[in-house]
Amino acid sequence: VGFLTARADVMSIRARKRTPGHVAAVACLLVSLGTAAQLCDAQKPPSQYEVEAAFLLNFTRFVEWPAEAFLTPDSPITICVLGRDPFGPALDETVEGEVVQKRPVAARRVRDVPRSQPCQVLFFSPEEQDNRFLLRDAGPGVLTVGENDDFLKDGGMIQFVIADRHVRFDINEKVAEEAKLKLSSQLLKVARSVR
Amino acid sequence: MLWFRNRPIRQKLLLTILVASGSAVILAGMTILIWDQVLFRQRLQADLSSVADIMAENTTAALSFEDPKSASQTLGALKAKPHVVCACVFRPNGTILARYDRSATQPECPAPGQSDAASFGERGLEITRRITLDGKRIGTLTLLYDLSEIRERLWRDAASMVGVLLLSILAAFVLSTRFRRAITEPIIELANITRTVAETRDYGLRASHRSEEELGDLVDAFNNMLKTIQTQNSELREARDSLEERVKRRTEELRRSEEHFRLLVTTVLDYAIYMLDPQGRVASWNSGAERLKGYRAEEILGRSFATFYLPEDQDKPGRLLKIASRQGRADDEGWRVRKDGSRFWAGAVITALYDDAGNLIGFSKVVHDLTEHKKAEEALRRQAADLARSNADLQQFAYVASHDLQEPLRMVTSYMQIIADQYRGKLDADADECIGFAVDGAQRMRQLITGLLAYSRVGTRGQQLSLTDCSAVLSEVIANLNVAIHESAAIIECESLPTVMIDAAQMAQLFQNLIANALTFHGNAIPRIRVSAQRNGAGWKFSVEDNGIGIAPEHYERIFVIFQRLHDRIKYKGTGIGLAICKKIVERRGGKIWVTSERGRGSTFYFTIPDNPPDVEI
Repeated sequence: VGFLTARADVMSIRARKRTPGHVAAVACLLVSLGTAAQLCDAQKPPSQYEVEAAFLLNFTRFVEWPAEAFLTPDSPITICVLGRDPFGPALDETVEGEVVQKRPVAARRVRDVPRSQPCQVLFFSPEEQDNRFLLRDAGPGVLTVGENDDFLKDGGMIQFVIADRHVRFDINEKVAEEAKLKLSSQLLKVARSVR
Repeated sequence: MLWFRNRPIRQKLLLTILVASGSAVILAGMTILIWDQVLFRQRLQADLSSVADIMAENTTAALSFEDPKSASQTLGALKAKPHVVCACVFRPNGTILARYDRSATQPECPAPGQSDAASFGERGLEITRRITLDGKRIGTLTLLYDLSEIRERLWRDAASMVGVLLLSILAAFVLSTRFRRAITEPIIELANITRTVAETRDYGLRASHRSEEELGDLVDAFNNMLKTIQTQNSELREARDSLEERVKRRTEELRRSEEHFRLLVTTVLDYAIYMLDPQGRVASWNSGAERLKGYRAEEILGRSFATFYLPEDQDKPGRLLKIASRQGRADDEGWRVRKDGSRFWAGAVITALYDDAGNLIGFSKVVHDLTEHKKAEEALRRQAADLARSNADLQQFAYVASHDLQEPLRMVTSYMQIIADQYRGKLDADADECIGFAVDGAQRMRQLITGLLAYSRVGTRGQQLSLTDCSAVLSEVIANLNVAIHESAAIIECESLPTVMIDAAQMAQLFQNLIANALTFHGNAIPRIRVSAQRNGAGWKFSVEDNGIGIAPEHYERIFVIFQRLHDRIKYKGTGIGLAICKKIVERRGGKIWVTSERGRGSTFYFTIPDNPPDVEI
């Protein structure tokens, strides 16, 4: 479905080539990644969280987890949202049917840092205040992503920032290494800053 | 091709070598060039494909996280490849995330296709690479590589190929010059020698033998040919030289002989020698003709030779020419007229002249003035006639006289005999003695007349010449003289004698007189007579040898004169007429008679009888 739609989109986009819009471009990127077709059709730019949902999925593609991060070899890559979910349906729609590193991708909402069923990506809701402690509990093998200003200072790994009306991110590579995660150099390259 | 065919062999070889080496270089160069292009394109495709792979790999994150800046940075690495015109990273929907441009012109990036591709298009090499992440296509990278490099390379290669071509042609030229010489020099030398030989005829020239292959063989064959020609030429030249020498010598001889002949002809004064054309017109004239006939050359040339003939002889010239042209020559004697009208007796010979083809071209005429000759001849003839007449008269007289004298003498003798018979002893002794003298005288007179008659008969009677066996004649004579021979007991020796053309009776007379003579004039010894004959020139010489009293040399001529006697009648009988008769017989027959003798030892009479009797009777 995505392929055919994407093809149709490419045709339509070619027709409107002279009217580039960043958000529209992002929308189309998302389309290609298998999100809902209607997003691309809509002229309205995607919201910040729709972008961030896509980014979350994409992070999984550039991170290498240690084997112990998964319960079984075919356990899914689970993206967990800690606290109140800002994505609405966007995240679920984004990960729907996606396969990364031969593992399905799943989205889950958690109230606390999970122990038994580990999350591979843990998104800290911007409404969570006590990130420092929570991050300490996150443990190895979990990619921590947040939005708050001091998220990296508090021991987070990736922090979304809005720069020039675009969603960018900063990376704390040291923390990731300590958590036995390998971040792709590509990922580091596209980050706004790496500490 | 005609142009090439007429080039000197040196240029042909050079051209061949240059064309061959040039084509080889061009062919090899083209092959290398094409191969280089193909390989270069393949390598370029491979190189750029791998570059595109890396770019695609390195732009996955930028695409994933919508980061044109990072993508641009990645693409910026293409700056290292100056022939990359532009490169674009397309989002899946076909919009451009990031692009790289070599210059500010921003040409259009190749459109993103559905699959990876690397193809040469109009603008250059276009590379399309799908950008995938986890097996999913997240974008496309396209890249345009201009072909100016290829063209540059092509031009550079072509330029170097031209360079190599020029160098190789130069090298071929330089190297071939040396090898070429090995072929061309003998040929050029041959050609030059051939030309020189043709111009100078110097067959002594030789081409130098340089190698053992076909050219060497050619040179050898050529030299052999020259040698043969030289030998033949020198032989030919020698032959020609000797021929020329001979021709020169002959020409000179001919010229000299012609000169002599011309001088002879022109300066001969006694003979008129001139030429006639076939119609009998005078064609040449010599000084003898001028002197003889009185005409100068310019007066007579072209006129008919009938001019020289008497008016009554005008039919003669045509007849003579006809005879001469039919028989080759015509002789004529007769009167001719000089320019001044005087006549002369001419002896002329006309000879027809023919050219090599046998055509009559004219006549030569030689004329001699025989007037004096003619006169002398006629005088001689008259004298001879006179002489013959007087001779005949004399003989007639002698014959008639002696014949007519016999009759009165016989009468005297008869009557004296009667007187002697009737009156002997009847008259006195003186009368008897007188009668005896008269009878004796009359008898002697009769002998004399008989001898004279015999002598004159030799002259008056014609000779009856016939083949006569002299031995038979001699035998007859000896038989006639049998008595005298017995009386004197003479010994006569005869050799075999020839058969000659003579009057047999006169021959007998001749022998009889000579032998009788020998029997008469013998000394005290028994007479020995020897008759023989030898061949002597065109005739026979007879000899009658005796051992008699001999004759003094002063009497050798006298004894042959009629009635001349050397001795008195008492001692030796004879009338003195025998040897005169002998002389007359021999001389009438054209021979001679003479005697040799030694006083007291004998004499030898010789006479000759020529084979042919004389034409004129004496």
